[in-house]
Amino acid sequence: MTIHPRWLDAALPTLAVACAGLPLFHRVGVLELLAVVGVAAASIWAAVRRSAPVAATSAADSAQQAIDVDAPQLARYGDALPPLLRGILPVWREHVESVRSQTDTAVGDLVVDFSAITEQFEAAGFKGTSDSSANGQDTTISLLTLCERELQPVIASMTRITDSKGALAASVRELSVITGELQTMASEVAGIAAQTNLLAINAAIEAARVGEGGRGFAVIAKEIRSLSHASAKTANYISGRMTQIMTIMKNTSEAATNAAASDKSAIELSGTVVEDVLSHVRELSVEAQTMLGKGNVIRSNIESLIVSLQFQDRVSQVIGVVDNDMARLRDTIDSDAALPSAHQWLADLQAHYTMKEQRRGHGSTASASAAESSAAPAAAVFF
Amino acid sequence: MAKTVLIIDDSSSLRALVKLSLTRAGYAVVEACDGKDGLAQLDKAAKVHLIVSDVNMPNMDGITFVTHVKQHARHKFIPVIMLTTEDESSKLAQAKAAGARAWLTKPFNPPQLLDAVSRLVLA
Repeated sequence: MTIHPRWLDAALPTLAVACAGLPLFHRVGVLELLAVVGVAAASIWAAVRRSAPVAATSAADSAQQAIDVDAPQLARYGDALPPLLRGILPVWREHVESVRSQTDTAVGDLVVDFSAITEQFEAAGFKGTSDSSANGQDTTISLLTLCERELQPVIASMTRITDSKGALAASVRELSVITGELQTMASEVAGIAAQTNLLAINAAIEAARVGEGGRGFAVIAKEIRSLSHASAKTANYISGRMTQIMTIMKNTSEAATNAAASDKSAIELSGTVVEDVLSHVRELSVEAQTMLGKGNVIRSNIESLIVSLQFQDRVSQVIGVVDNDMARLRDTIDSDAALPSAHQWLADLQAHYTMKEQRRGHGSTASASAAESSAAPAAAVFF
Repeated sequence: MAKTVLIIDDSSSLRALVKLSLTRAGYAVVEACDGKDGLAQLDKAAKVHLIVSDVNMPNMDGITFVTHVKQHARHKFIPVIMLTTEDESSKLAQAKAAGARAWLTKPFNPPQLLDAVSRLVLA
């Protein structure tokens, strides 16, 4: 079978462009291997082109122009190319498969390592917010805010308790004063009883002096003395009880005053502790907010990295199509069947493209630019 | 209990990236390397709530896989998201006709994928 150089004139630029364009997906060393394949393809193409220079601007254009070239001028390559390609194509495919396998394994390992690092970050608390996942930091911040909201009234409540204790002590002191007044009144009653007794004695003396006519008055005077004795005794009893009450009130007042002072001191201490706790809670809240912010940055970086690491999948698609095309070329040579036209071959090759960058690479001998090669995520289409 | 997502892609690194995105959001993940393996994993797994499948794969492509799933009595109600580099609108139409519920092109953005997954898992 004879392979006409003009046919290669169309196929090899496409291969060279595809290989040379691949490293632009991402700067990974292993893709340089593939670039070597691209360079080799370009070299073979250059050798062919030197024999039959054609001003091609794209692979498709070069195919069309190659058809118009005077074939006899290139015919001397025809017999040599099949054995050359039989030897080269398996090696190229080996390199291509090596590149695909190495990048796939390396990116897979990278993702596993990266996943472990991500877990460590999240375990350390650097977890950003996400609509689709529960978030611990949001919960932490909510709890801290709740702590602050619930601790604030505790201080006010403690102050109210201190105030009510003071009011109690004041009431006891007022009660003590009133009790003192009651004791004074009891003493006055005792004085009145003494005066009444003296009056009764004088009445009895006067009744005795009158004789038989004053006997009834003497009985009354005796009863009044008896009542005055009873009044004096009751007044003394009241006075004694009042003294006891005053002692108890004094002790109660002192105890209440001491308790109020002690409570005030304890509550002030508790208030200080609560304020300290609140201060720590606020600091924790600020730190949690900071960690949340950093977590969001890390999350955003992770998402960007996940997008970037998908270069391998796109590279693999490009390599797969090139690899399959090399296999097709080898099978065609081995089958000894007539080669299709360059147009037909390129059309068949193009039918296997899935991405815009492949079509761009097919349509131009210039390498696709990095900007063109880096596809951006697109919105999901729902059916 | 975590919802289970079956990821089908012939690229192990892409599967790893989808798995990383989903497991971080609390999903359990089962993996398959092509449509044929995907059908086998469906039969093996106790319960799969959603499938994320590539389109262009060896042995059995994603659209053929969806067609098989939709003909299966037990699996036909599982929603399928196609995740692919394919940008041919005819393929998109084929996926829709086969019964896929969403089409997402690579490179995917994790929040977009998670949004699609959560919408279809909850649907």
